Amino acid sequence: MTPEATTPLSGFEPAFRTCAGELGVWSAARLFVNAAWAAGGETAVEALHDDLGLRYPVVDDVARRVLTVRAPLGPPRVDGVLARCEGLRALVVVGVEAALLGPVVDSLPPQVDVVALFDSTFPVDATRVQASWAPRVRLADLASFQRAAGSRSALVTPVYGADVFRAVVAPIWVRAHGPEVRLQFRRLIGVNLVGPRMAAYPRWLIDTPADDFTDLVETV
Amino acid sequence: MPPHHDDDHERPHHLHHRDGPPHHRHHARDRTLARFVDRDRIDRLLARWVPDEDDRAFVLRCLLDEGPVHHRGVNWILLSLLGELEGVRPTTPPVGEHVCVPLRLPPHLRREYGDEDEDGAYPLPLPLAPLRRLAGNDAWAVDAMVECLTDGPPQHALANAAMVLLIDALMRR
Repeated sequence: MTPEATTPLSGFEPAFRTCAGELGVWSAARLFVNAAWAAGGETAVEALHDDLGLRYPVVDDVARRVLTVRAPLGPPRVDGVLARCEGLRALVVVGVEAALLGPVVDSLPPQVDVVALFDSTFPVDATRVQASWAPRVRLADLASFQRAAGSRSALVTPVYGADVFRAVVAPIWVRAHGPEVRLQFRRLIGVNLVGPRMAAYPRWLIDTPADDFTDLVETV
Repeated sequence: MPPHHDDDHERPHHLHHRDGPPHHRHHARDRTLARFVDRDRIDRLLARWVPDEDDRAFVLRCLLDEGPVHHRGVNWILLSLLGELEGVRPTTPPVGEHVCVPLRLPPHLRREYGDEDEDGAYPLPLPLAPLRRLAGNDAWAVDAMVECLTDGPPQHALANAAMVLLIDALMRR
């Protein structure tokens, strides 16, 4: 056995953090774990799990799923999100997950204005993400996203596991979601990418009451 | 209110209510309101003026689910009592000339779509006829009354508009 084969995947953290910042932590975890599965199956996923799983609970969760079903993790179902977007004029995405935002904007009517706020927990290159999403998605920040508020506007955010009382979200959700903001948007949609709450403590992310949301949509 | 989920039968196991008290911030106030607030009652009351179910859900959330618990309780009590007086009459004619309750975004966050369009306001009409009954032909006074009724937190402004709607229906009886 070559030395490379005994430690097939390690040292990926800087690359993972870059992807997590610009694609979203769940999308990056899915990308990395699926790539490991394609490259080396169970052994490679276990090595990636060892490398990143302890520090990144979302990687831990995705790796466990892939190892359980012995297949790559599929994309999220977005039919429930699209159903909640019917009749909307503007969708404000609070915390981007590329695996979610991409198929949603591809399916929304072009007249729906899509605005996105990136969470800055991990590094985000604003120029690069702007180039990736413009012109279909306009970038905003905490100081300006309410300009898209309205009686036919909705906020949507990824959820990283939930039960009936609590939901795990990116920090930007609790910064954007205030008492006055709740009254400026018709719907407050949480999109659960993970399903049940993750086994590991959701470091990097934040617990919030599940009743932050008017709609909590399952995608698993 | 707990978030709306798809059909309960299809809810994943981890989202089903479990026994015991919910450990979230709204527990105490929700328990207080659960003693008397019947959302369906206000839903039926507003249906003739806000026919779209989704519009009505938005207005009901602002009236009954957001803000301090005593405001939400008061909104339900006063609207229910006015509904009793008016006697739910599906035949009440549509509201006449009206304005809508504006979103009232901070001035530096004026909406990109313009404040004058329908999305810049809540989907609940505030009838002008009862105000004209008080102000006569004084348009300035009517405008000032509208300003008073629609200013402040949306919970209050929407409750004001809903009450004027019911009073308007009473006056036209």
